[in-house]
Amino acid sequence: MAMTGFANPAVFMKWSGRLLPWLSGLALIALAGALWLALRAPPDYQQGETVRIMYVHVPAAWLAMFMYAIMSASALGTLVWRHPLADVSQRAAAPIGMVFTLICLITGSIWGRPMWGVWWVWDARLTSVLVLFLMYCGILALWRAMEDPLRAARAVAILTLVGFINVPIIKFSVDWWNTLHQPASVLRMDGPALHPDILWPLLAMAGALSLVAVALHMAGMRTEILQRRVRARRIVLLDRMSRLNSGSVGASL
Amino acid sequence: MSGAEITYTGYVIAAYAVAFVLGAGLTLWTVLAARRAHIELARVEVDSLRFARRHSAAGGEPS
Repeated sequence: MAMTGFANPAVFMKWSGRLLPWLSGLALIALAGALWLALRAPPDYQQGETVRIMYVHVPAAWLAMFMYAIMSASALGTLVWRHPLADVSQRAAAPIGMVFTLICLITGSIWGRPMWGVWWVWDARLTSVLVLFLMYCGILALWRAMEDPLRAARAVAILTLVGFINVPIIKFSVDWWNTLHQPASVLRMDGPALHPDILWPLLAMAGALSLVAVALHMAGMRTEILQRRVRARRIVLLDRMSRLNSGSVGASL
Repeated sequence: MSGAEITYTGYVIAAYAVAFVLGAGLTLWTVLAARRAHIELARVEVDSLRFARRHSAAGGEPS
């Protein structure tokens, strides 16, 4: 079957219904294993025990940006191809991205207090991630504010694509500006700068949380499709009722 | 274990607790939304079926 066949809402509901329980189980097992690795990893010689916060903070930051990238690709699908699943995917990704951004901001702040001596600084990396969080909030608010789903989908898609400019700013902010936040230590041109004892738990947690995010995204998409079916059937039912009422009024005249 | 390490462990526990609460909250919200959508779909299908039965028995709806 071609990819376009898989992207049909009915076909998606069929295969995602089979896949989701397995994916959720795999995500739970992977998360338990990654947590075990993260809690057993040795403390850092400078950061001490607080290095364990990085095993949550860094994957959450990656997933915050990854979910926004998914939303941007879906926004293109909505605007260019008007694909029925594109808006569904975008809508399901937004709350997940928002929660991962919030986890990133709060865990970073908790790490910053003992390491930097402050909960928050207005440096480029922290500020651009805060802007990402506000973008997620704005996108979710815009969906709720507009009654017409088609107009809301287009407006949100445009806002999402405009906001995508922030993703490379987040990534390269530590290189472009003099920031208190350290530069990249994993996703670097010359390879990771971390000791394997720290790198492997970090990668394991990133993999596990990615599985969690994919499972939640799939579940969210299924819910969104069901909610659209409910809306469509209610409209059909109301239409039939109003036609019946106008027919009986016409008959009585 | 020194006093500084105990304080740092507190920060680690706080960070993991926040991540757990937010992650569990998102998962619960997703599961409850899915359940509600299934219930609403079943309800609207029952309503449609009832409406169709009632009006087919009464001679059908006007075209």
